[in-house]
Amino acid sequence: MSTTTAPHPPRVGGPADPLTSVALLASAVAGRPVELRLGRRPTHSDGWSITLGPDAAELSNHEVELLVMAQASLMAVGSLVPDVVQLLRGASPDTHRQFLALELGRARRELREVLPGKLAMLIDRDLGVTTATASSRESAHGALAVRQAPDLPRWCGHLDLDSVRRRARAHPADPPSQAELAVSLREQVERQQVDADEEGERSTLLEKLAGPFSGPVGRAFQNMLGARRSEGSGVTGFATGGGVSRRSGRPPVGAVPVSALPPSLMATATTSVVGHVYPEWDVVRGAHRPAWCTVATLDPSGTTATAAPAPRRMSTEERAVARSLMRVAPSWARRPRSLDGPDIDLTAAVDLQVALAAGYTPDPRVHVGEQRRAGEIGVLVLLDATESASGPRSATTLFDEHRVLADVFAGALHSLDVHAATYAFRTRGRHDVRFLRCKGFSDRWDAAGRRRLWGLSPSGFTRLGAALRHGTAMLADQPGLRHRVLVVIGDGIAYDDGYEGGYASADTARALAEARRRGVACVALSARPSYALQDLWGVDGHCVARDPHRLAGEIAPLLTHALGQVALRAGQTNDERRS
Amino acid sequence: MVTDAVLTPPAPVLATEEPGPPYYREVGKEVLVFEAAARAGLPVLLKGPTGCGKTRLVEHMAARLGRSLHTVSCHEDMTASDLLGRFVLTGGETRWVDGPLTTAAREGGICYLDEIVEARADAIVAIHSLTDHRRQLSLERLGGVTVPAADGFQLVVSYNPGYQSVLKDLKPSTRQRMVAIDLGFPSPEIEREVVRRETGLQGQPVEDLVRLAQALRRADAMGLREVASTRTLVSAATLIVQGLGFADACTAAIASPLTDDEGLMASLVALITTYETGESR
Repeated sequence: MSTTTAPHPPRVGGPADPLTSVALLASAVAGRPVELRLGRRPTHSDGWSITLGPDAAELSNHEVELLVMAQASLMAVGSLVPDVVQLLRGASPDTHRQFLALELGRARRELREVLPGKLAMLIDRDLGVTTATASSRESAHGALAVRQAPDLPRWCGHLDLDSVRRRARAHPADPPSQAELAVSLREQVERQQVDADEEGERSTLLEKLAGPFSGPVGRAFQNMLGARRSEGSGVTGFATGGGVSRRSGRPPVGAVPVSALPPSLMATATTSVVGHVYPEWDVVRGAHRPAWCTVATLDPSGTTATAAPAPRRMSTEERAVARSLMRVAPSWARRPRSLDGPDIDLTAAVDLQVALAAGYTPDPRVHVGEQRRAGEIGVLVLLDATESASGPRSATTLFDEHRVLADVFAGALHSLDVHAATYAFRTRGRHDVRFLRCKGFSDRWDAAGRRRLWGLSPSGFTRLGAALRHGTAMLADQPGLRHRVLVVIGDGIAYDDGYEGGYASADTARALAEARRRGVACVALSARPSYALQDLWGVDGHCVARDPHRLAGEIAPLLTHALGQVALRAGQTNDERRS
Repeated sequence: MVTDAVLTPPAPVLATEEPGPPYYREVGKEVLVFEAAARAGLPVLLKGPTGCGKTRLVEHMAARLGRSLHTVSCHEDMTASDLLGRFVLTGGETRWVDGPLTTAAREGGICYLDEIVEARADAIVAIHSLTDHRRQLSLERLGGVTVPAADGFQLVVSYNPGYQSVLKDLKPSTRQRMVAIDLGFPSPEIEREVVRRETGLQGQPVEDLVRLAQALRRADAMGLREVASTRTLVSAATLIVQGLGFADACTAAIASPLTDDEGLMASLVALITTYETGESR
C-alpha cells in the first residue's frame, strides 16, 4: 500500500506546457481567447481554435510563432466562416492555397496595427499578394478563378474546411485529438477494449513523431504521448504503473486504497487516473458498506455539446453575485478610528489632544476597532451533469440552466479571488462515479475552463452520496481555510443503479451529516423547486434561482446560514470535547 | 531582468521643454467637455484605465484655465480632515490649516481626487455639499463655518472602473452629481505621437511598442488584471532612449509590472521578442 504522487496528466495549456506562451500570442493576434490543441491533421484552424498537427512538430520556436500568428490572423479577419467556406466546397488544393494567400494578404492590411513587423514582412515578401482583397468572399472568388497556385511556406499552415463546417454545426470537433485521448475517457464508454483501428492509427502517429524535437510543438506531442510509450503495450494491472495511483498525503476519511476501477476506465486511460473509494450508508442494515463506491477525477473530453458562449468580461449578474457573496463568512480586520476596540489608534489620540488644546470638542473615536471582511473561504461547485429522472428532453434544457448558474457563480467567485473549484459529476453505478474537472483549485477560471464547462453534455445518473463524500474530501484537503462550502448545482435528486428512493435519500442525508461534522457546509442550488430538494436538503439548505438574475439574492443568505450551522456544530463539538 | 546587453550611448532627444500647459493630446472631445463643465462649475468624473492620461488631462486643463490644482491621492485610511483641514500644534499654540479641498474652494482652484473609490464613504461625504446647488463647504470643526466655493472652483474625481473589486463601487448618489468623461487608450497613431513627444524616441521602436501594446490589449490572459497602458509604453520608450535594448526595456517597464505569475511572464517575454523588429532577427 504505497503512497505515490499522481503524475500530472499532460494537457495543452498546463503550467509546464511549451505551448502556453504561443497561446497568448495567438489570442493577441486573434483578438479573442484561442485554445491550442494537438491533432493528427495538418495545422489548421476551425475559426475558434487552432489545431497543431505533426507538420508543426519539426518547426523551431520562431516558426511555430509565425504559424500560430498566421492562423490566428485568419480567425481575426473572419476568413473561416461557414458561408465563405461553402463557396470553396470541392475546390482543388491550388484554390485552397490561393485563398489562404489572399486572406493572409488581407489580414496583413487589416491588422497592420497588430501584426508584428516580422510577420508583415514575410507576408509581403513570400506570398506575392499585390493588392489586398476587400473581404473573404472576394478572396474566395479570386481563389476559384485560379488554376494553379504555388506552394505556401511552412509557416502559413493549412485550410481545413471540414473543421470549420463542423465547428459551425456545433458537432464534435475533429475526431478527438491525441491529447484528449490521453487525458480523458470517452463519454459513452460501452466498449471495454480499445478499438483495433484506433490502435493502428495511434501507432502510426507515434512512428511519425519518433524523433527528438526541439521546437515547442514537437515537445508538446512527446509530452503527451510519452506517458503511453513508457508504459509499453497498454495498461497492465491495477494499482501499479499506468493504472491508478493514490494522491499523496493523508488519505481522506473513508477512502481506502484503490483496488478496483471499472474496466472501462482502465482500458482507455493512458495516463494515471486518480481514484478514491468511499463507503455507502445502508439504511436497512444501519451500517456503512465499506469500499462501496469508486470515484475517479478526470478531465472532460472535448465533445462540444453546445457552442461555448462568447468569452467576455464579467457580466452584471456575476457582479451582483460577487457583491452578495462578500457578505458571507466575514472575518475581522482592524479598522482605525472606532468608538471602541481592543487598541488605541495613536493618530486619533493625538488629534484628540490637539482638539482639546484648541478648545474644541474632541472626536471620541480613538480606538482601533474591528471591521468585517470576507474570510478565507473555500468553495467547491459540483454541477450535476446527468439526465434527470424526468426524461431526456427536458433534461437538456434543465442542464443548460444549471450550467448557466454554474458559469455565473464560478465567475463571481473568481472575481473575488475566492479559493474555488468547479467540477461536474455523473455516475453509472457505484463503480463509476466521475468528477470532471472544469476548474481545479489551483487552476485559473479562464477560457479553457469555460470551454470545458460548456463542452459537457448530460448523461448518466446521480449517486449523490458518493459525490458528496468525495467533494467533502477534496475540500477538507485544501489547507488553510476557515470556511468550506460545497455547492451542488442540479435538481438535487439522487438516483442511480441500485440507488433510489429511501435508500438513496438516507445515504445522501448521511453524507451530508458527515460533511457537516467535518466542517464542510453543503447546500444545493437548483433552477426548479422540487419536493426532493426540500426533503434531502431542507428548506434552509437549498435555494431555487430560476435564472442568474435571482442568484445574487438567494445565494448569500443560503451560504451564511449553512456556514453558521457548521460553526455552531463545531462550537458544540469543542464544548463536548472540553467537558 | 537586464541581460548582458551593453548600454549604448543614449539617442539624441528631440526638443527641450517648451513653456505652456503640460502636453496632452486630445483623443476625443474630452477637452471640450471638461472646459464646458469647468466654466459652469460642474464637477467632473474621469473614468478610465490606469495610465491612459487622466491626471495629465487635469494638469493640462488646470494650466489652460489658469487655475491652481490641488491633487489628493485617495486611500482607505483617508479621513475627512485630510480633505478639509485640521488643527496643528505649533509652539504650544493651535492653528487651523486648510486641507486641499478647502484651499481649492477658497481660491477658486481645481481639487482633483484621484482614485476616489479607494476612500471610505465617510471621508468623502464632504464633497456632497460642494457638488450640488449649495456650492459650499461646511467646516464643523471650526464651529460650523461655511466656506462658499469661489468662482472657478471645480471638483474633479477619477476612478478606474475595470480594476475595482465589486466592493469598491461609486455610489449612485455620488456619481449622479458629476459630469462623466470616459477615457480610454488612444488610437495607434495618437499613441505613437504621444510616445514620440514624451520621450523623443523615433522610428521603428515606436511602431513596435505601439503594436505590442495593441496586441497585449487584445490578448486573453485572465491573469492580466490591467493591460499595457500608455504610461508603461512611455516608460519603456524612455528606457530605450537611455540605451536599453527593446526586449529588456519592455520586460522591465511593461511585462514585469503587470504580473508576478512565472508562466505568464514567460509568455509575455516571448510575445515581446516576437514584436521586436530588429536587425538581429
